[in-house]
Amino acid sequence: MSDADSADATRGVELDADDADGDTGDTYTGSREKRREDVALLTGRAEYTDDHEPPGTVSLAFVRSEHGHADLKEIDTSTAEAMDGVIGVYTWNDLEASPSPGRLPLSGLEGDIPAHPVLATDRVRYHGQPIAAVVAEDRYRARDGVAAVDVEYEPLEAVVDPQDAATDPNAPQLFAEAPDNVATSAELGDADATDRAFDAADRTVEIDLTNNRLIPSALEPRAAIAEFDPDEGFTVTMTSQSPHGHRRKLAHTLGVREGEIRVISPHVGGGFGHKGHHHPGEAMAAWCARDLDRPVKWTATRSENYLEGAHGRDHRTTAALAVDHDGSIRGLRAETYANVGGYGLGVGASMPARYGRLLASQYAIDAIRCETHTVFTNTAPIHSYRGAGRPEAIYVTERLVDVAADELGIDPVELRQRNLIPSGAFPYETPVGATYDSGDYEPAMERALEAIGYDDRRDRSGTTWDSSGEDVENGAIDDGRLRGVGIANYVESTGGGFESGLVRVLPDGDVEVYAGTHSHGQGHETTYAQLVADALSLPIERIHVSEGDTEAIPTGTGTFGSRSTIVGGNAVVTSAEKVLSKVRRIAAAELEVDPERVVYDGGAFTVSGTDGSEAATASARGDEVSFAAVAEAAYGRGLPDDLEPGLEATTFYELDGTAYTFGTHACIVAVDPATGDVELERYLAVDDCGERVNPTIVEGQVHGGVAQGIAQARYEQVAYDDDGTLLTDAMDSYGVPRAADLPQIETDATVTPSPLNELGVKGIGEAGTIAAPPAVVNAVCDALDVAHIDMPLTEERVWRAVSEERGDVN
Amino acid sequence: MKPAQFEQHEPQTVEEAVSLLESLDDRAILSGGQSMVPMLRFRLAVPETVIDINRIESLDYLEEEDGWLTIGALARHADVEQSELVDENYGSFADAAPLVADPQIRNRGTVVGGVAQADPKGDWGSVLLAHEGEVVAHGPDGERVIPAKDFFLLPYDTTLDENELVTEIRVPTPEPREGSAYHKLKRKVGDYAMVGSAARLVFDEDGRIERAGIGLTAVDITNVRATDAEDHLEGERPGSDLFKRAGELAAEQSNPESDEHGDAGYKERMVNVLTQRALGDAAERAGVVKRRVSQ
Repeated sequence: MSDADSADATRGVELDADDADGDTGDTYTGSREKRREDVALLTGRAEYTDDHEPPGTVSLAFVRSEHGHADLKEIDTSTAEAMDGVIGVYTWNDLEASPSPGRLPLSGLEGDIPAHPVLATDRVRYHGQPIAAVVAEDRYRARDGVAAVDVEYEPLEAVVDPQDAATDPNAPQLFAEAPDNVATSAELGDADATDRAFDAADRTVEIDLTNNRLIPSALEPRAAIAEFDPDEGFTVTMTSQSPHGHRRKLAHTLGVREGEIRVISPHVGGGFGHKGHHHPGEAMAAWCARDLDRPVKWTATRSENYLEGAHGRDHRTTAALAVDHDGSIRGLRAETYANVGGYGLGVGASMPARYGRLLASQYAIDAIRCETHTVFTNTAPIHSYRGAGRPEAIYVTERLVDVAADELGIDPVELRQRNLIPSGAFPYETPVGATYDSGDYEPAMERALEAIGYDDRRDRSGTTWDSSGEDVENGAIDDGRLRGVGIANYVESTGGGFESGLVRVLPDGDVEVYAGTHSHGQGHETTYAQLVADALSLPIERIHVSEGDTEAIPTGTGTFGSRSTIVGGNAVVTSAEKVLSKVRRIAAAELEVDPERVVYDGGAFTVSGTDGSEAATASARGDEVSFAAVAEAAYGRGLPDDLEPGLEATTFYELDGTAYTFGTHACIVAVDPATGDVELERYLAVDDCGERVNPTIVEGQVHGGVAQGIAQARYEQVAYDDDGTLLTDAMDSYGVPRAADLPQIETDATVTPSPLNELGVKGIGEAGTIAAPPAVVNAVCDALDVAHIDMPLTEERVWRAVSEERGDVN
Repeated sequence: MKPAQFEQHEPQTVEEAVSLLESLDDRAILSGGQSMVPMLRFRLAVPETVIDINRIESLDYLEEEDGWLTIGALARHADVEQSELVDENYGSFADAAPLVADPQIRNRGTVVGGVAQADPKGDWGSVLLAHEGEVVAHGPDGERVIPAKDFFLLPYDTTLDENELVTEIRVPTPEPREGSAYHKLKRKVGDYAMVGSAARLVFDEDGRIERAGIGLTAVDITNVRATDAEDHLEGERPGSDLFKRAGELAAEQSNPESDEHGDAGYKERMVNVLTQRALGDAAERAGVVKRRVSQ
């Protein structure tokens, strides 16, 4: 509760004010270049998928399951088909009779587990699963048609909790091919070594926790407009984080070749992972476009976004830490049941099994063992959501450390410091198979502690003095609220997979940059332009960045997993360097010297050297040739015989390893013990993502991530009832916080470059979602002096914790 | 918004609106649209006709008149929020207005619409009850005044006649020693109340409570008065023990339901806490007690 609605938005405070302007001299890289995409975005000029409407477009809507688990007895579409304006009504029978497989590809699982059918076959396995599709002249009539389809269900018993689904012998089975509803199990780390560590340690600290289920709530819901031409194939304009990935998956579902599909992703309003996944809506739009020979538009309603997912998180974990009296962490053990939902989507059913790879967090732990089971339940499919396993892992460790500190009577900061991986130990391989490329944890932690005033705060945890930090004796008002301080360290694995980057110099010297990533809020247009402008020593205005069209862009991977600046950024820079090398050779020919003698500065090539040769003569003459002149030469006259015309280069860049971002977040909370209301009085993030190409954009990523992390800690919780009915199916029941619910987010940084790439960069996109949940929960537990409260920290949960702690629960 | 098809009428006068109500069967009234628009969008309401009353300019007022604070059917939440008159004299209204939904909705949504909607989670019904206010309706037989305590019947159902339109709500202008307040517990900014409590206290010259009004939000099938607590307060001098007991009585009289935001026991407890706080603020604003030490 916030009693005042004064919208104090998440305006940031830059602590390192001295170098806040990021002035790195005369390079764009490192500067706070204003986001060039923002004018179009903020003035409403930017075109999103739903803004696009080719002539003759018709509208698609879905009949969705009202049950969490049911057999479909009959689907009567006759009334809908007869309605004015309804063009087509489709069920699985229509898909089955078509040349398309009609299922969303599933990967990473053993056995023959059925993949998600675009429309339900004979059984539905989650509330909201698409059963029938209605296409009509407009979206109103499409919904009229949906309301007229009559589905007869035979409800089945449902299971929604992953641990129940896997361990309760009476739990309903979703698939005969998945005994005990287990999609996959994975083990990480050395079991024997971990047992030995626990045996040897002075004591064991345990925790049971839930990582709450979340729904990605991008500002723009998912949407697609599919067009089909018998000669050209499909053009699917859609909200995609990963245009090439979607092309591949759509080809699979439709049963066509990738070359027959062009995916265009225009401006995208947020994604958080779920716009990288392959869902029924977009695939069905494409299928209908071919069947009807009309452009077909599908735009998810907010409710559909909530019903269909993919959702995120939803882990049940039992974990233990083996510690010595002096605070040395010897071992860590975790067993997790991760929810998959009613069907696996892509790698969504298997990927969570590897979440434990980050369980070491920042600590040198002798042995770690993690067993993870991914489990089918009668809930919407789950897939990666901003953070994608990293928040789940770090939350386990950072909570365990606080619980251990409390039990050992050691300050939680001291316990952390005692176990940090030392700065000289990198690259550092953890017992769960992660190799941290670089790190220097202590300075980031120190900055956070100092800025938050940790020592002073910690002394007065659990007391009620006001947020000014003054004692009552000094005139502060005791507002009756309990204060606490929480710290969380984290690491974030970033930069997986390859990425494409194409740099093309046009005849007049302007530069086009194409990348296989796709910005949906991350500011690539600015970041890539900064990088390429520096690589080519050109004014940034000459650089034009494009993403999101499979016809224009070399096969790429997409934007997710905090990867774009590392792999996409290095791809475009490498291409720019390749281009520059050719430019230099052409310039040399123009200047009639060897390439080595050519000096490039300020957008012009001159000749160095005074050895009396021709070059010296040229130099003496003050000859110079501009970048633009070289570009023109590249497409016409004066090209050396051994060079082919044109001026462009493509790079497929892949990191040799993984770059590990890290940092420390801290917050101070005030808890109203009478109501359980929690206010975050301060939130501070110190992040180290190596070199920062644009500190403002980095901070923006931190702000957004922290907001989502606080949302998980305080507000957001998907609720299903026992029948598998989604209770939180709209924004008024699912708790996406507003700006006024969030604190002012303070940011600071240290810089430890990654040795794995020339730019020295690491990803930052998900850091906030990883660090904020444990920071907030640690602070509230500190304020209340309790071991643990599950997220989200609802008023009721917090109030109960206070009441139980005080022994007056009623 | 993707509603089913409907016809829309835009009457210019109250009489015109009432005659439309008489002549049309399946119709809904649209004022600010705070609830009606989502209901149309979700097709929870599928009326043949929507009667949009936003063109009836005579209903756009918020003023003191003849011993009443009167709020016309087109006064928006934002009008109350920005009113100096309210800010100076009507603590509970001033408390509640900025806690209704979000700024965009407060610019469109109306106080009267909120009352007429009779959502037990609505804030204004509780404020109206605490102030012993009245609802003014117009129908084929002219004007009718309904005391607030007789207005709410069931969730989304009132004692309004079928062809009546609520045109105004009103509460008495403040007595010499009166104070009021509204406290609302919600999960986040813009949400409906988990629990809300409005309190109005009128003191006699001796500083005893002459009249007490308490209205509760989201803890029963309608906004309800906490009559046991009111009775307990009347004739007494204000104090933390008295307010504590009043909070307990209000909690005992409430009937909240468990939902995903909190269970019934917790909400009952919050009725107690919020009522105590609202009473404390009301007494303070009446000028009969000094600032409370702590919540």
